[in-house]
Amino acid sequence: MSKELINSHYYIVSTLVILAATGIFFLQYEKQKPTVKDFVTLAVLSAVAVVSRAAFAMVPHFKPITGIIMICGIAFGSGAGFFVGVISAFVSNFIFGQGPWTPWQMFAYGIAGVCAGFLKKREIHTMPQVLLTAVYGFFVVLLIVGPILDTGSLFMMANVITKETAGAVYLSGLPVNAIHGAATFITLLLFCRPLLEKLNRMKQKYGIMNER
Amino acid sequence: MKHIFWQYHPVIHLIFYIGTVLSGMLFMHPAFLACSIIFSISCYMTVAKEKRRFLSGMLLVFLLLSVLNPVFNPSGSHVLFTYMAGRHYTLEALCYGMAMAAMFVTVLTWFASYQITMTSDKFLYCFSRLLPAVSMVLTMVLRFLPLYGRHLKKIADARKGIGKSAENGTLKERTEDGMLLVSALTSWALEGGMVTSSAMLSRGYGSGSRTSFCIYKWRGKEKCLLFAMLADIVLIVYCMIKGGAFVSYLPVLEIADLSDGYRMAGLIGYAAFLAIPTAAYVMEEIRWFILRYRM
Repeated sequence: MSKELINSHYYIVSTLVILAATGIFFLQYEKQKPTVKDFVTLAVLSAVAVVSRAAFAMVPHFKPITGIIMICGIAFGSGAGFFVGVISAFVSNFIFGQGPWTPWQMFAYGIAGVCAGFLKKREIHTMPQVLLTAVYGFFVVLLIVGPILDTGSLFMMANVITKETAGAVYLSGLPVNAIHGAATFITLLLFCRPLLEKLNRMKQKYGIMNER
Repeated sequence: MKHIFWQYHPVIHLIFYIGTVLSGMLFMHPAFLACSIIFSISCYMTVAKEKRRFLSGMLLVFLLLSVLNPVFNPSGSHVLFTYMAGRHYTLEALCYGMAMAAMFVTVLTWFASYQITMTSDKFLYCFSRLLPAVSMVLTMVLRFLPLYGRHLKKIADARKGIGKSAENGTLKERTEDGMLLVSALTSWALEGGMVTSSAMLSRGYGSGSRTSFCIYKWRGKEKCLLFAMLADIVLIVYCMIKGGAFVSYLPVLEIADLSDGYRMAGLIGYAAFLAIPTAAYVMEEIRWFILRYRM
């Protein structure tokens, strides 16, 4: 029975795994007893990531949310990146509608933050460094975040997965992911330095996000 | 009038929606699917204000998914017709597509009524004990959204006032303008966040256990309902363990009828579980009707 369950219900099994992983992460976060300043900063950044969409209402298809999540990851590390990604995806779905895609979006955006966290120790000051970061962001979205979202929609739409269904879903996701990646690229390119400076200044000035 | 189901305790809502969505995705048997379609739509109808657009959209999704499935999945034994040099369009794949589409549509419909029933304060109420810091963050983010939206508008208006608006500029100018707006917003928001957290600390945040803004009572009604729901869940799980969830569409249609006891029991439990909001609504309407009739 359990084998049959796993073989025929990809969506449920994978979503439960994702939710369990996210839940464990949050329980762990609670256990660390985060200081008020730390989690208020994370709340502020998540809200900025969600609201930033409104600043680009004039630019079609431009979603800066992933870029901003990645910048948080670069500034404060993988854990904070995951946190901001999950929270902002969840909250933005309060506006755009919750659905079976919510856990997958939370996870994908969280992973974007985690991947960005790998750059934490790197210096990002000169233009080539910024450019490199932006290119990294583009490929993270194109090769990791986008395919996670596509896998979610594949599992949602089909229980029996054939090569054709998988191919159709991933191919049709490719242009969307490319646009998403380009938006992230532009966000990181233009936004990386000013925002990182601000976040690092916050770290120094108020002593937030110190490793314990 | 407010829907009676809304007035129950949020834990009831949470269990109900977790149960419906999970079992909605597990059962592919046509009888179960019909059940979940009927009850999800009737629940949505009683809860929502604007119905026609959503439901017609769902109908479109249903038709599209069911017709397209055989194109991607050529296996199956009854060939309806062939196209593109001998690719099969089979009856089994069509049936399977319809079942998949029904499942997809019901899950979306459940989520649509979830969105209306389970407002963010109820969600936070359910999780504030288990995850105090995380639910605090969620509360704050939900409060910040309108605040930051307004502030963003203020910054944009101020820039317009000094002639720096990029409304009619090129795409590059508009993107850079958006970046400046977000950058200005971030500085303001981060400083504001620090002030907020100092204020929270000095008012004693974290010195005691958290209480919630909304007060929900756990009454006798909720106890009965929870007991009924658990009984239904036991029936559903029993049916699943017995293998009642197993239906094969591809490559051969293999759908058992409902003559087996466990399958029938599972179906009854399933229907009773899904019918809770609709039944609550209908019973309340009848009660009101009788009251008005007596007057």
